[in-house]
Amino acid sequence: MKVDELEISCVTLRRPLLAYLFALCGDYHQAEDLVQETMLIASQKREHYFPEADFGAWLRAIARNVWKRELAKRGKRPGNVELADDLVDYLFSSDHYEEERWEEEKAALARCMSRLPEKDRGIIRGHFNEGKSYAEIAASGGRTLSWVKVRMFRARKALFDCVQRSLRTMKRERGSV
Amino acid sequence: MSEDARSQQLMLLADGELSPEEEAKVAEELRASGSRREELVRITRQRLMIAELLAKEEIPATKSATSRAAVQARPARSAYWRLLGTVAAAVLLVAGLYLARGPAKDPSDLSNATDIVVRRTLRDGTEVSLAPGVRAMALGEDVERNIRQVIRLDSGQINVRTPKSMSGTACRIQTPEGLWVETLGTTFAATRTFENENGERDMDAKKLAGLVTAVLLINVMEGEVRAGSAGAQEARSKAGSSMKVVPGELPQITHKDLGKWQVTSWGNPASLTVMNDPFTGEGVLAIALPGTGKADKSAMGSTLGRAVKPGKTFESLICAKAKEKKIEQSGLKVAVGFQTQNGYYESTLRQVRAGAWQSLSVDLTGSDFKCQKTGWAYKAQLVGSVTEIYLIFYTQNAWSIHVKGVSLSTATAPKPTVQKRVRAAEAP
Repeated sequence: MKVDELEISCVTLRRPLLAYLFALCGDYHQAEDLVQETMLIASQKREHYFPEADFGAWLRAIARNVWKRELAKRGKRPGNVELADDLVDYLFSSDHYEEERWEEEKAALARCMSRLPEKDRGIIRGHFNEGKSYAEIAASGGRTLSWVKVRMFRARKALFDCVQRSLRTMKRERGSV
Repeated sequence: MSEDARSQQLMLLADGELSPEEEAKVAEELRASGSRREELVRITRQRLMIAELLAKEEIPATKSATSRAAVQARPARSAYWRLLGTVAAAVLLVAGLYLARGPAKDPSDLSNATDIVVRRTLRDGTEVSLAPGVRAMALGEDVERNIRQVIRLDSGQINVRTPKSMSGTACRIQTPEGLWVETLGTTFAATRTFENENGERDMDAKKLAGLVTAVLLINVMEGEVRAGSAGAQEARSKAGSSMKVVPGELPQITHKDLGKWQVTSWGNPASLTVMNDPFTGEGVLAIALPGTGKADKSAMGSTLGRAVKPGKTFESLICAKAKEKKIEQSGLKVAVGFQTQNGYYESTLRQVRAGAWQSLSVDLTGSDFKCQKTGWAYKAQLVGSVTEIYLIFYTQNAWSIHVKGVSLSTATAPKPTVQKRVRAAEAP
């Protein structure tokens, strides 16, 4: 694979790869570091890639090994990685992470997040930003686990609906211009 | 089970909040149902989007007191995701890993790809309104210069409202050309645009004819700002006034003053990466010539963003290694090219021996450049102001080359270039 082709592919597949590694490690910052390492290895090993193969799958294979190695450094054993592979290709396909659509949705999500009640933003921040489990959020807020589950679901559903509304409005406005 | 209950199960699965038994059950469902998989994609996307927004603090909200180290310390809890990848992370090790990196500098992308104005509050409290199409990056604190927030404006318009800081630290907007505006507490709009010799402006440099220069337009709504450019004196501007900052002539053009380096289309294929020297922090070009292509050379160039009168010398350091040892024996032939307003000029060939850093210098006052006017004979003087610099490697073999310390001396001394205007028409 030529260097420029590799660069283009890596740019297109960066976000799906980030999504994959974020799903694996659950930590955004760490996932970003693992993506960088994966890209570096892919660049060094580009001669080993056969154009007939799915480049995304090849990158994910490297990413999985990078993550395994990261765990090995800490003396942890990787679990069974085969079971969910059939889902992985579908979940982290680049079709779902197209740049323009992503940025549009992200801008809408940012606006929707700022409109969420502080209580809901608090549990979302607790889970995503502070790495708390639902049980830890419940304990720190003096709530039950069920309350957190329901509240989290409603907040995330509200965000999704709000984003969809916002995107529809934008589309309509664009159409009317 | 209701639709909402099913959706909730998927969210819990993605968040790692299901028991192994529940996970196995949901995983079965996912295999059987395309719509469930679609929904999991939606949830997975939303998870990453939320994490991305929170990590880059792109949502106006009260800040969490949680430290970065604690954020990093999150272990992966989901057994489901463990099936995808592996087991949970070690809390202390991860925290240690990040703490060992020193203070965090979170570059935050401020680009606005939407067609509406987006408002954001940055970590230091600075409020920015981002015009559609703006490309900018919040680079965070610059302790040495007593700046609490540096924003790099790559293109478009950004409106800034900076709260007054008790510690007296400033907020600064700068462009890749080194044009800057700084304030301690005020409201202003800054626009990076391009201007040609006739004074015509456009956000897209390609749409302008003639010699094009990047300019920074500033419109002050409240308080006072200071502005300037590398190599020029600074000027101040108060509320109700506007100013234009243009690049000053630098005594020396160095790597940081150059635009992005790019491989030319008229040479053989090459790859180019710009790295930072870990010791000096200066830019290093890492060039890989794969040894493919039919031309007799590979070349890469960088645009200065303005025309610079050449001084006495071009200097740089170069280190080259060939893929095959026997190729190294004959060394690497290198030339330096200069695009001026009068045409393209190229220095005589320099022989670089392999394996060690050595100086690559060109006397800019000499009469041994080749150009079209001399029929490509090495007997021309460099005429006109330089707008682009090229490195040309005359080889068809595979080489790995590093270039650093690029420096072009200029003929003119720094002069003030900030032009104050108080006409409203000047406002972006």
